[in-house]
Amino acid sequence: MFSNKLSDLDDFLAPAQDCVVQLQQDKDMVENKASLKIELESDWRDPDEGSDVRPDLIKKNQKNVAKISLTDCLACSGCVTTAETMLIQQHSIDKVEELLKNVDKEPCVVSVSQQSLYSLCALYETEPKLLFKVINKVLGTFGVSKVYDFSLSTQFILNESYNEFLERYKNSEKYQKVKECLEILKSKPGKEEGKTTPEREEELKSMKKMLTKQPSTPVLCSECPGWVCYAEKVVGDVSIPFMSEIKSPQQIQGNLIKTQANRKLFQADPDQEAPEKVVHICVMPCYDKKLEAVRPAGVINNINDIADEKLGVEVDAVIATHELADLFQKRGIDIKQLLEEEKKEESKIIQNFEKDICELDREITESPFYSGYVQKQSSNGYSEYIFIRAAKELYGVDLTSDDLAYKQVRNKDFQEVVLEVMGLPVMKFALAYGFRNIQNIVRNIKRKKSVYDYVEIMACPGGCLNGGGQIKPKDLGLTPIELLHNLIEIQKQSLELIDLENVPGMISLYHDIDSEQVKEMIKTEFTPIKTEASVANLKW
Amino acid sequence: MAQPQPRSLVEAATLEGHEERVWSLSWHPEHQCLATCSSDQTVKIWNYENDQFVNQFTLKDGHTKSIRSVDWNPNGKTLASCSFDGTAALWNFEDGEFECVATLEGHENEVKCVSWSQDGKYMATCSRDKNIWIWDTNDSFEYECNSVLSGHTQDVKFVKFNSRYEMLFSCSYDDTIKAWKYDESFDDWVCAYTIEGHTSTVWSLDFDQSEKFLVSVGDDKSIKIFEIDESGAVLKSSTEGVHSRCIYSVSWGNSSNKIATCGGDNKIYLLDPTDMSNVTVEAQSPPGQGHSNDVNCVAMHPSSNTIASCSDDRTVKIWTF
Repeated sequence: MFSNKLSDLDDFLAPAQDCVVQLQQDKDMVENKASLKIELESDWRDPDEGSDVRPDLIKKNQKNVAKISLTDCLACSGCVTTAETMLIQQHSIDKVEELLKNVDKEPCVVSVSQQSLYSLCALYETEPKLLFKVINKVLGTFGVSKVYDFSLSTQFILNESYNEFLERYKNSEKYQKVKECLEILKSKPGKEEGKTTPEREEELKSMKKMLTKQPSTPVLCSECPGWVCYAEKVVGDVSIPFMSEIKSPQQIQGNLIKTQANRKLFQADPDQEAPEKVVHICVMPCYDKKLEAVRPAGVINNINDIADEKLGVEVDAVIATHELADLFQKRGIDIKQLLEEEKKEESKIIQNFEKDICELDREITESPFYSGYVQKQSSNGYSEYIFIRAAKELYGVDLTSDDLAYKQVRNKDFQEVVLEVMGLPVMKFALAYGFRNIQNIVRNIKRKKSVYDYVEIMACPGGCLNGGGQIKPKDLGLTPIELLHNLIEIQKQSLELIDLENVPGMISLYHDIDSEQVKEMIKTEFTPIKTEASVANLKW
Repeated sequence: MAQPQPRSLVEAATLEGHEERVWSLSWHPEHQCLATCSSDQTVKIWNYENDQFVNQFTLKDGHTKSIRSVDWNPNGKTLASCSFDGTAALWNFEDGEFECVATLEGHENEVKCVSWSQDGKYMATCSRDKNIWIWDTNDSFEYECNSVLSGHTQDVKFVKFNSRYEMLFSCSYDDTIKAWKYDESFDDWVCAYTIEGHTSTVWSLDFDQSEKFLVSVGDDKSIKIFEIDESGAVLKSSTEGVHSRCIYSVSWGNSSNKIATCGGDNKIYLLDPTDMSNVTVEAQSPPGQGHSNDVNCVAMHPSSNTIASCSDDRTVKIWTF
């Protein structure tokens, strides 16, 4: 996340442009804007110190800021606008506590992201299934009705992202050229025996050159709200036409809970009155997910296309991974001890999202943590999933995750993978994590020199597993790269690779929900936000 | 004990031509040649011919706002400039002409300083957006972003590479100097340490020839010398009472081992840091003469006892000592 990159502001900064984390701790500053302003004005330098007199709010908080290291999300050090800060404040532990007090009237469902779960596994030194059971139990004692993971929503979104990619890629100029080239190559004799002619080699060479020069029209993944925020506010029209218009798993999970699962969960008895409203809380690896939850597309419309008070928003509150750990600590819950007890019990209370949104007669997948093709990716594996399926669908190439030969482009956070068919580079995908790599992607799009067909863009270096809201590497005595490696290992151990065509949840989604409604449900959109000309431009 | 009266710097030339304040200047690494930049949105190249500096080239149309800083690539062929228009530009000298070969976008607003690493591999820019960018350079001028360094809490005023420790130093309106180094465990540049001590904006810094020592100046009118290494900095001395107003720029001469400073009091001072713990004033621009407005930048000539300075009075001056 990096809302801090939006600092199109003067040298004299309001506190809201400072660290999000710190602001959440410093409640007085946010709760009362008026007092905040007074503080600002009164906090001038003491003239007796013999130096210039100017506001000094940032420095006052420097100790808090300094404890945020670079491994945290870039945005944590920075400058969300005041409005965004207020919004983030609404998605705090305090807000969650408030919602929990009200579960009798408005039942509460919690969704825990896989990245958060793995991060907590590192903290509590355990494995995901066991921890998920314990979290279920503990949140149950807090009054939470259901605790889910994101497996199904993630697969649903990956599938829709793949469909979107296919449509855009097939309409691209590059794909037309690739098809023509492949036709020509296929018609040339001698190829079947592995033989080739100098003439054909020459032709292949010129085709390669032509395809390499062909600017691509990349699909830019838009799951990362930090990137979305930056794209809308800073990059604007350069990136927005290329951005994927599919919602993220966080949002779609909320939508499914409120539109599909709600009735089944809380209205088992048809005579019973349905709850006024179901509250959905997400535990996410990133603070910017809070911003995502309040985007306009997060309001659920009813069948008459009108925002429905009862349905509310897809996500009512988002807390970061470490905030959940803080909540446990605050309430004096010894997770490690509960894990020990759970080991002995071997209870089977694990919640299953599929079960709650499916028709009853469908067989439910045993493992709650599953994936179609991806086991080793930090950020849900958009690029990998789409690459594998598109290679099969468009070029008949069978690939598994292990077959993908990623090449590091500039640094560990910028990797590319190429599909070659008959010696031609037909499809090129990239993972670009962190601000520096996003910059290069954006600059190349601007200069019409983009070479990628799909870019999995994430604002955090290391991707979502290294999100700004995760347990800090230094709290675990690890370097960021070590921790990232450990988390990917945990993920690999716990994610079961399954054939998605047989996943009851997926079948159910496409069977029970009208295809037009699916389209409506998953769609989001982005608009460039124009910033007003800054007065500060007049200064030096 | 009465201080000996510092001698006067000799004003050797005044270079006129810029139409607005002159912000910064850079000596060519080999030739008797000076690049200057100004709010008039031009860069001027001054060549020393027949005992005088001649404005040989005026580089226009690279930027749309004030040009804040210029720096020669150590190869002597390429000049980088940066501007309040948020971009940096690369000017390549070929076939007797300068051509703007690239404009680097990325910063969100005013770029305050541009600086090359001594091996020419990297270029750094810093901005009011509080970030520092490190660019990977190459011969085709298709520079790519290597790193974006966030850490300063305010406007970053100045950046300079230190080749001895392979580090980048930056100074800021947040009153600090930060030392950045590539860290393998992050696969990125990270802040190695922060030097505190200045009580107001730090405007500029430079190193001695060994690059073991750093001198910094700022709004607090102090001239501080630190002994630096990869892990930290130790203050050797803080000299005050030289300039009567903000100090904007500092340059540590390689051959002379003297330090030149300039600032808002329109003056230029030459300091002797032979005894690091007791820096003395050796010479100054003659009182009542020299620049008639803020002096924005000083630069020691790489191999001779010559100083170049530029000012809000739109002139560039050459001094000898």
